[in-house]
Amino acid sequence: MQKPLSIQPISPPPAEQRVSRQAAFAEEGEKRNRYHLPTSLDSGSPVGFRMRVPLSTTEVNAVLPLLCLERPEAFVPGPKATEQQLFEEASLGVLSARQSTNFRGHRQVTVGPAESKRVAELLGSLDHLEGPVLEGAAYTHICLARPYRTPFTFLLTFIGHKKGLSLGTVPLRGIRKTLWHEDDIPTIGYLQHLHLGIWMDAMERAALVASEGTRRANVFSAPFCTEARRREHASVNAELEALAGMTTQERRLGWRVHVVTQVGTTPQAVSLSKNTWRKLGANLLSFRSERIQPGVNQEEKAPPPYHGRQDMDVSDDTAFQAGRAGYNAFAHWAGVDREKAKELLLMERVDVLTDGGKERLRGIRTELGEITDRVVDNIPLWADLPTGKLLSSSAARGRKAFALAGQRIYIGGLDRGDVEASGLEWNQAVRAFGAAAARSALYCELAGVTELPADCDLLAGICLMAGPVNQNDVGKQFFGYADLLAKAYPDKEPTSLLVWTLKAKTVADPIGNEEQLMNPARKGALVDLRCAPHEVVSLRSGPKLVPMRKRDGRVNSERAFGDVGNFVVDAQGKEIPGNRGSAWPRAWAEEQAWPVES
Amino acid sequence: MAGGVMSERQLDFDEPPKISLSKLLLSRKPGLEPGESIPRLEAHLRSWTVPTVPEYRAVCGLTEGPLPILYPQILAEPLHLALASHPDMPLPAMGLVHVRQSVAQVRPILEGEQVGISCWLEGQRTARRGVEADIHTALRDEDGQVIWRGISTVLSKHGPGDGLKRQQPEQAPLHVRRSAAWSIPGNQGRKYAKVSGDWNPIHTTALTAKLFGFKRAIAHGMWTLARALGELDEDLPTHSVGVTASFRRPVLLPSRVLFESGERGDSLGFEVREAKSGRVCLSGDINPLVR
Repeated sequence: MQKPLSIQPISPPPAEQRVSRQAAFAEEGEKRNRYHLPTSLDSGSPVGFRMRVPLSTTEVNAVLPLLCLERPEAFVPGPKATEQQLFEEASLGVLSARQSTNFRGHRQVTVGPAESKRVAELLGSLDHLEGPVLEGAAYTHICLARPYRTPFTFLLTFIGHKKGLSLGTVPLRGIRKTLWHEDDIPTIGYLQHLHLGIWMDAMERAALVASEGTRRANVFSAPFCTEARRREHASVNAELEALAGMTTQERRLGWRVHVVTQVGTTPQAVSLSKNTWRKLGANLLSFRSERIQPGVNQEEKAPPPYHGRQDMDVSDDTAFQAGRAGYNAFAHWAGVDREKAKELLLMERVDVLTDGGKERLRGIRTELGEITDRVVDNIPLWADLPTGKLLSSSAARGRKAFALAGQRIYIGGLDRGDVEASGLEWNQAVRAFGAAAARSALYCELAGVTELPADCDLLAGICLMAGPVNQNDVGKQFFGYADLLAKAYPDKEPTSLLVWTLKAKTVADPIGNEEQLMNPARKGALVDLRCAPHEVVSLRSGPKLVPMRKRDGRVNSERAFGDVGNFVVDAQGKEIPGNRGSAWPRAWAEEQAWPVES
Repeated sequence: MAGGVMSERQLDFDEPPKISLSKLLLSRKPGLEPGESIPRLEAHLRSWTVPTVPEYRAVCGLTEGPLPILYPQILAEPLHLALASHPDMPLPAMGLVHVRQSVAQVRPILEGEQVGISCWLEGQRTARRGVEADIHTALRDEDGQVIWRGISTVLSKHGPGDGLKRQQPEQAPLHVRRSAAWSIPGNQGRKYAKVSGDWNPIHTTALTAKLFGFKRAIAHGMWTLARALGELDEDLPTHSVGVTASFRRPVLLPSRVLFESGERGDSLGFEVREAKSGRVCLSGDINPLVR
């Protein structure tokens, strides 16, 4: 059973310390940088450049039950889903779920009520189900994922080889990665499951927010969390893959069914005002990683608002509630009680406000730096020299990713032995861990918009980072380093999975960080672009799979929950051209997605 | 004339005339000399059934509903070509540049409805680099009531210009409510030509467009306008509506452009601009029609 949450607002600093981003367009002839507003936005993503929307304490407290959702117990007949509702649900789910590193490794195929009956029969025949399969789903999402592969994982192929043997072992590892989807280091494999957990947790809220409280999601992950479990019910998986239209080529690339989510109308509707639902949806699309702590880790060239320290703090009460949200999520998704969740989740606080925190942080930074140096030295010259030392310079740039700044910094992880002893499948526990991280982050982000003054972008932000953990794992696997959590848990064999850096501040990160997710010309090496609906979501309509919002030569340019109007503007109120988007034709948006049950 | 009767300067048709592209390309016209003016020329299609236009809707990104507001212009296109190729028309058809368009839809037109179409032009205005002429179009219902009017203003350099730069009337600022980027593919001109019948070579391939002095093929102005009206969707009045648009510069194909719309004074304004340079290609305003 999950425990209820209450909001612990974060106090804004004195008025003279309140700063906001106030980004401006570059003047004519001025060189643009990451602190300038983009000149335009050309993207089919429902997100766009958005600002946080202030919520009152009352509104946030009304919203918080959405961070403690239990499984629905039954579906009842309800109004048919419109295309608009499905779009908004996907916008809060697969199209935006905490993707600072969305690697386009997720896709969603949504089937209508007729196929949902068949999917329910298939689910009913599976073992390891987390809860009862419900009859009467309005539609069902079949969620596909592939192993995490980015330029970073390409770089990893060249790391950890013995000199003299690398000419043979590098290609061999490359082949194993391509054919058998093996990972260079274990934590890269866990990323896929962390992301899935984040997506699962988002899907539960997405169904509710998009339907304004009437539809709930019944998510099944455990029967699909390992290859062995999929093999136990190969024919069921084959039928689900067929419904999702998966091709042999996609299977070869590692795509698999990982989650199946039934969505239906529930008798227990969640009641919030329409305005609160819309503001919540718009806020969920505005939340993103906050890496900069003003006055601590800003660049020298950063504008003045980033240079001053602010008298703000993340209170113990806020951290406590965020922790509760995380334990709720882990218990919910792992299927264990809260006490067990607390026992399994390993957490170490490492910020400067703790005793010896400064030294601990310095030690971590030093260790990660040493590992980076060894990685750079270890890259085979035969690969590095012909590419103009691209590989080693990329590895060295990785240092910038480890921004360990914030009033509260936690390292989190799991002990595989403890997990397995509890009867849990490791991958499912990692998914639950991802969900726990995302939900605790969401709590902080909601606290950061509670009673948000007009002269502040936010009051608190969070960055969930896998980078330090991956780098530590490189050290563990190839250079004999201990896990980041080893000192805090000497009696266990911990595997660190994520780092939380929680910041109380009033200025949002530079908009250039967001532009990396939106603009192909400015895409960062470690991130991918936010997707348009037609790129990752399809609707099955009888024998056909129809990409979402690709019709008659048009693709989506609507920003979901854009009616709230939380678009980034300059100080004069000038908008970024293309950012506001344009609503999908009303006639198409109001169509029932599956008008006839075939 | 096949299917029609011709008096000297009034052409009457029972079905849309077929004017070949080669005829337009090869016809030699002298252009306008100082002191000359374009005589009144008329073309009429007595009765025609408004077709269903799913392909047009698909190419322009329009939803189902009554006949798209700009489609009558396509119905009238054969008559426009008949006027342009008339022996008494002094301006060569191939050099005409569509610079402005205004449309007044008195009431929605239904697919399958019987309409009569009339087109005419007469006289010209001196412009900076040539002369401008207005081609008028009117659709009447079976009772003879005008249900749609259009004026297409074309510029020809084959007439005496005055070299004077005219000030654009100052426009009120656009308060943006929609702002979207469009990626227009290289074959957009051919796709629109298929549904409109306007195979002008400046729209079809880069090579043929170069022959007429363009860097690449350019989008049909009427496609850009139709796409813009499609983007406006429910913001567009559905019954009586007036649209005015000026085509400021060509939209090269392929290209990325930005569409913006919102209140502009008392009108619903819209613009299509080059994404990179921000230069306006199409600017227009929409107002409920005052009868």
